[in-house]
Amino acid sequence: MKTLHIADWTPQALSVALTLAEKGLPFEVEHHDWRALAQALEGFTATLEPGNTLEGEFPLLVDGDATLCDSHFILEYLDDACPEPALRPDDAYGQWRLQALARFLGERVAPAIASLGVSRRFADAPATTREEPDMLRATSLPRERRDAWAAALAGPISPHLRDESQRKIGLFLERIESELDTSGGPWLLGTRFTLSDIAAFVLAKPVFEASLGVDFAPGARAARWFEQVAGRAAVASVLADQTMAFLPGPEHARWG
Amino acid sequence: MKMTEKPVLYHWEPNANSGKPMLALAEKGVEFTSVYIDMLEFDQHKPEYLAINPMGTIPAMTHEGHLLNESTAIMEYVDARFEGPSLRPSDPAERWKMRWWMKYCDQYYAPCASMVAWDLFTGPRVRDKDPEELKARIDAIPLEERRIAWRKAIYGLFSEEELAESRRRVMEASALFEANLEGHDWIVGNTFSLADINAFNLVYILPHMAETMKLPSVDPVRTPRTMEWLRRMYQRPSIKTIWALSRGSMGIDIDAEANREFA
Repeated sequence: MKTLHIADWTPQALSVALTLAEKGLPFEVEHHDWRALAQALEGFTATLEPGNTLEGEFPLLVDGDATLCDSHFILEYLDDACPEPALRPDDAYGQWRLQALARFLGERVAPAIASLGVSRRFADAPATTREEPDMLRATSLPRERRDAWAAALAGPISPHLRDESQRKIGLFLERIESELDTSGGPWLLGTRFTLSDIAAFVLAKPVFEASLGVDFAPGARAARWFEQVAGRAAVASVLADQTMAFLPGPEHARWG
Repeated sequence: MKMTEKPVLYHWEPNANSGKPMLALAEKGVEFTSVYIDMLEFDQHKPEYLAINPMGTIPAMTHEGHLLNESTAIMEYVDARFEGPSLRPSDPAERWKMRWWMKYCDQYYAPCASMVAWDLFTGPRVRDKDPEELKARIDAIPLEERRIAWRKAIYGLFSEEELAESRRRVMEASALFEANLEGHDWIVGNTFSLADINAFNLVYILPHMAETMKLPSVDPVRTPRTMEWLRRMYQRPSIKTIWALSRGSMGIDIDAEANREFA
């Protein structure tokens, strides 16, 4: 049995659940309180990766002996380990498109969504919610992760970071349109529904549902794609039970 | 797999991002047409190159009518598309680990080392050009992210705080890299993979830059396993083949590195 460890249903946690559901793979979910993340991670120190992953502390997938982190690589792992139904293109060029898009989503879009989502979640939260969670003191976490948590709990994001996040989400919407334009649809990479659709959908969800406190105007093609993903049986069944929430995600690229 | 046409690779010096697909092609035994793009002359932002790769980034590869960029994704394409020794482990968990480490190098270890190196070397080398010409060249960069990065590097705009943080991260990453090599020869256990090629392009320079970069991250005392791993890498014939395509000098004696002895 596979166990998905999460601290809230972040977009990344949802992407793993959606992939498992699309493949019809049974799994259990174990919830960890984000206020005690560092403590929760102490159960995963047998390998180096979980405590150092750039995406943030969770989700983790435990599958037999393997403890896997970084959601896009978990998605690719699931397609490698359980190939049916295939959720990647069969050809090398299609796989390249999937990976090039994953890089864009992980490096540009995920930090932007997390910044806006976290700001909205914590800015108006009562002070008791924000006081002294253990990860701020946990030397087992990399310093930049502790800083990310401290920043999230300190208050709303700076105007600069807000602008930068909005700019990146604008690029994201353009990219969805252009991918659909290149592939001819109905899915991002063409006629096969793939991990790219899942990875983009979980990031598009808060944008399309206007839950980030910012208005965006997705194009008609992207809006149709979004509805088609949301309408899939596996996607609808997962989303019926879960509400998306935001936690400090990957940092914005430091080179700009 | 059917016979396939020869790919064309647009690259700069055979290190950092350019070195990744170059070494992957050599390890795979794939012949390719090499087109040298001089990054310090901003060849990658000139119209003739932008006609091929509108993003103006290097490396890029054209093959069977497709344009491919993003060096790590190109490496996976090379392994998937061409015949030759497999450069990715077949076990799904090992393949996951290969990808995790490539991202750690691409988005953490390398950008931090690169920021320090650009501030000290690349920026000052480019800064000697005529200021008007420099400005025009920066304005011609198509991606905003790259314009910001070049501006910072050329005019030395990295703050002391940013540079100190990058140094700290290189120290952290090199320690984690060392810890991962405990008990096995390659990044993913005992299988040589794309992760080793990826990391080599970044790590090889660190022992040689320790003093000039004030960055004692990789050396025989602090990271002996990494030094042994580097020696194993230098013993691979692909390094000689690919470094021969350098226009400058890689400044490193491959044979000496391949036969390095440790006390």
